[in-house]
Amino acid sequence: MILLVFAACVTLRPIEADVPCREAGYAISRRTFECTGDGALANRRYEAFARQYTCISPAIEYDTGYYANTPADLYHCAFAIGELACSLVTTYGDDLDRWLDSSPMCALVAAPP
Amino acid sequence: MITPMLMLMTGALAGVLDVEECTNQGTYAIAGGAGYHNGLEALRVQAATYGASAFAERSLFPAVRARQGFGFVAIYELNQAYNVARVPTWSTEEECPDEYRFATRPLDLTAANIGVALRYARVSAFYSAGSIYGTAGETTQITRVPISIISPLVAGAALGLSGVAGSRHVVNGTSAIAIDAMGGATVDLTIIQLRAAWAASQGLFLSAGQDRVGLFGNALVKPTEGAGVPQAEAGARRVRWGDVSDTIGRTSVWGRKLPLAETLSTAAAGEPIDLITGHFEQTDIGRRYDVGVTLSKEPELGVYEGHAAVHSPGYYEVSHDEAESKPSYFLVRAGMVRMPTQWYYGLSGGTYIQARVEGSFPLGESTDSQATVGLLFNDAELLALYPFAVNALAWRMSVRGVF
Repeated sequence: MILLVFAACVTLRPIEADVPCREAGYAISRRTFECTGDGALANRRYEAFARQYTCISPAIEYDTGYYANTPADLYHCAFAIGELACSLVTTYGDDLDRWLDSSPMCALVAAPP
Repeated sequence: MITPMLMLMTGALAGVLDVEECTNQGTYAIAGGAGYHNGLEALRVQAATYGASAFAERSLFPAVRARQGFGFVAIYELNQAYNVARVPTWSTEEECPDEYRFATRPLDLTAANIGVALRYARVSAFYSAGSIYGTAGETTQITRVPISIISPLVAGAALGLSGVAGSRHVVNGTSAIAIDAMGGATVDLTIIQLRAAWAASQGLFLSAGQDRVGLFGNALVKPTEGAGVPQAEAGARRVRWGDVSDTIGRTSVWGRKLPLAETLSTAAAGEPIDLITGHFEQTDIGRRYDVGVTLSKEPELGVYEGHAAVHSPGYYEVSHDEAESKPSYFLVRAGMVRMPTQWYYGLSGGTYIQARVEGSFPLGESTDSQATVGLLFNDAELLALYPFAVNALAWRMSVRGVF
């Protein structure tokens, strides 16, 4: 019986509305780590992001499919940050505003101090 | 009692019927997030390279060493891990319930290794291959079952192709397969064993070991400019302390450097990141008990894991004495593994329970052929390669034939 119930369990987990914002912070941390190899610095940058920015939870347009405010659009902030060249990572350093200028979508998910 | 169970089952089945509308065809992985990145990170060639070389060190070389004279050794190992990462996805299916249209799906990983060796007198030729296959997308536990059956076949087929296909990393969404293979030779000089192989990912694998003290070392050397030594391991393994070894056990001390991450986007190339660890193990205490601890130096300094185990006497011994029938063995291991805060993987870090249960038994009437099955939870070896695979459950199966 327990096995049957387990077998029927759904593996999908809904994504909370503030996740695209936190993903932007993770992307800053990950790109810092990839380009510098400095885990402590990467962690500090995420913590600075979490401290300095307020996460916005924009309404998601389920009906549009391919248009504005789909989850994929909201993740573009994290995506663009994750694609930054290492030279830009060095240039931006601890200036998180410059990191968040990487995509116009960043303004939809994270509000500056 | 029956009513709540029926309600639970009805609710679960209703959920299944709903999510069945969130088909894989109409679902897209969302790039950019830590889950997506971790999903791709899990499926990389360097992990397959380490898989092939670590498998050869752990299983193939001891079996070849123990097979004196002329003989053939074949070993197949399969590791299946569930929930290694969670990948964010977006369903465009209108019938998919809104709460599941923007959802994460589990990434399951199958790692397979094969090793064969032909020994003649003191020389042997060997071939070892590793493949990693992973896919995300199944909506219910029950639909993951066929994938669990198909994945080993895909990974096994990839191993079969690795000899001609060489090193490959093919990505389609968050489904990907990575393979690598190495072929080489060993020379057994009694006091020392030397091994050299060429890895298809363009690396020279060198390994040496000796039994008297237990010293060993191995490294993968990439001759291409700037590639250096992506993985290396050196130390002493299962050192005997004379007559008191049966009481105090045998000591292993070694250090290891592994590639922790591999940059997947050439447009955004970063620096390689290593996991450098120091290991201490006292095994076979009273012939039955083990303790061990691992310290990490990079990327962060600290205790990585600690464990204790109980097992059958002779669990670690590899012998091919045809006069001696090999009995069944078991091992139960438990401990803690400490994952540091790693926001770059989207992880807040913490201390987690790790556990492993393994059993091995002879196959048929042969004294040399053996099968091993195991269940692993938060296994330190898995977390070393995939730090984001916290609370991942895995099972392992291996079959060894010596002829």
